[in-house]
Amino acid sequence: MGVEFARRLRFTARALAVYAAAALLFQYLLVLVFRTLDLGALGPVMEILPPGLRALLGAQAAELLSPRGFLAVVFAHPVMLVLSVAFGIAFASGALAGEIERRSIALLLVRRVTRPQIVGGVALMLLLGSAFLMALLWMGTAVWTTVYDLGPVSLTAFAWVAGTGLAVLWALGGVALLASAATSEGGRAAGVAAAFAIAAYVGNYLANLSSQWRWLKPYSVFGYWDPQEIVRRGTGQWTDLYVPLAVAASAVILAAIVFSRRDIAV
Amino acid sequence: MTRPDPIIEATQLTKWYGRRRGIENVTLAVAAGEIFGFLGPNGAGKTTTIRCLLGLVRPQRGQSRLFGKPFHRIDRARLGVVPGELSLFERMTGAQLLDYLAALTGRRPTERADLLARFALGSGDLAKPIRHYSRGMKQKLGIVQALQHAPEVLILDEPTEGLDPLMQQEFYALLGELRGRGRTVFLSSHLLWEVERTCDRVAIIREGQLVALERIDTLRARSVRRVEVQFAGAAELSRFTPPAGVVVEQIHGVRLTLRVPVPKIGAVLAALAARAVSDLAWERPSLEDVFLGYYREGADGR
Repeated sequence: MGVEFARRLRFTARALAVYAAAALLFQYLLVLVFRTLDLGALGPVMEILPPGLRALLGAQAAELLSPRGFLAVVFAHPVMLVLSVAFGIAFASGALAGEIERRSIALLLVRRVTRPQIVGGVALMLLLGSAFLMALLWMGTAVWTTVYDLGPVSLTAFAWVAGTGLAVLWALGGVALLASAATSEGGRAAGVAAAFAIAAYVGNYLANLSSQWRWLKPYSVFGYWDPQEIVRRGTGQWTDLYVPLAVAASAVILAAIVFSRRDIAV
Repeated sequence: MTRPDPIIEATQLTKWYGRRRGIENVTLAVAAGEIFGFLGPNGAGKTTTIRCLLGLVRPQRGQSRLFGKPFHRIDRARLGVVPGELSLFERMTGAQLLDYLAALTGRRPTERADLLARFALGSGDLAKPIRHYSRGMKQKLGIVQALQHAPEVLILDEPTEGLDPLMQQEFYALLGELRGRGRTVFLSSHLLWEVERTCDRVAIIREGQLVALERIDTLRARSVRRVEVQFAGAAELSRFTPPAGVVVEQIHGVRLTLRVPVPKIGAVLAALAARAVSDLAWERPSLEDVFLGYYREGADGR
């Protein structure tokens, strides 16, 4: 399994580096934007934002004008989410369904590596890749706040932001892995996983938008990741870690079962 | 003939892909040290049978065993496989691929250097990413990866696809050596002369079902010979009456082409002895003739 994992690590490292560089660059750009804002003038503007936009910005939109609130929203910014989630979906869908589609999987399955081991290796790579992205954003937060003197920021709170973000990304990656284990085309697996991620995001958005839809929140993995709320309280909740991790673990186990029982025939 | 302790065994293998037929009731056994040919046209069920043997697909009925065990319980280091429609990891170099697959196999690639030399894959080739390889180079690399760890059993699904004639000859020579070393080979092919040349026994699969399982020489003996006779004149030709069961395939001037079942050879010779014959040519039957014979039988029976 170590040999197989090493191959995946080797051939994913470059793609992961590109995702990471793009995420760091985007974070840096947003920090530069924040430094140019006239916070005094923006205060009243935040109060009159339409509810739809406030829901998009997070539960604590007013926090957006503080350095910690702004840096927190960077983690969950749609562009950042697309970058982070895209890594998991692209990697997971290419790892199983993509290799079945390319027919290269047969070379592995006739050797001393079992199907659950292959799934396990991909799940581990997903976890490490997502952890790398979140750790980099956390380090970026530490660096920018120091370099630009952005005021007191609790790095412990941001560790919670990164940790819960990692759990959510791994859950989405796990679902992508499950889709990949069940299909024989990388594109189809990516499509299913992307649809799931979008549905989860829209569900959480609706829950933030209206009390009528609040019941959706526990059913969306994004409902367990509110960076602004974490930095406002200075810490996170364990349930925000446990629930996405449970989703991730269940999806990975299910993926191993599905992949072990399916036919590899393309 | 029953064979003790088959190395490769399939019993009543049946696989349907939804409503699409894969294979039905495929039963065969390959003994240790045997070179076994598995013949059929594209879509006949060769690859499905191999996938069942390798545990890649689960048959709805029947079972397969390698070394007397189900695939998931065997020591896979004892096995070498060239999959059908071979696809390699295109981003790797040839050397990286061979190292990676050898590490996954868990056996030292003791045969690699010899195989690379035989198939003319130099260090320059191995340093290039596989996506820059030609079809033939990929196939050669596919053969090397399957054999580099000296496996006892080889399962080869159309291994000469894309190889140039020179490399095909090298591959056949290699199969001969493997036979000498007591290795067991399961060779799937739609190239009938390839199987005829290299195998001890052959199974012919047609529309998912085995239609023949014979020794190559038995199969030839059962088959029909094509005989081309040139008579001394038109009168001789007109007086010749072919024995019952012999088919006149073609008449061209004073030349006659006959299809002669093996049991009728004596009768044909006797009939020809009574006539003035200026030339006679017996064609050694190719497996293709045998194969077409099976197909004709099937078509006639429908």
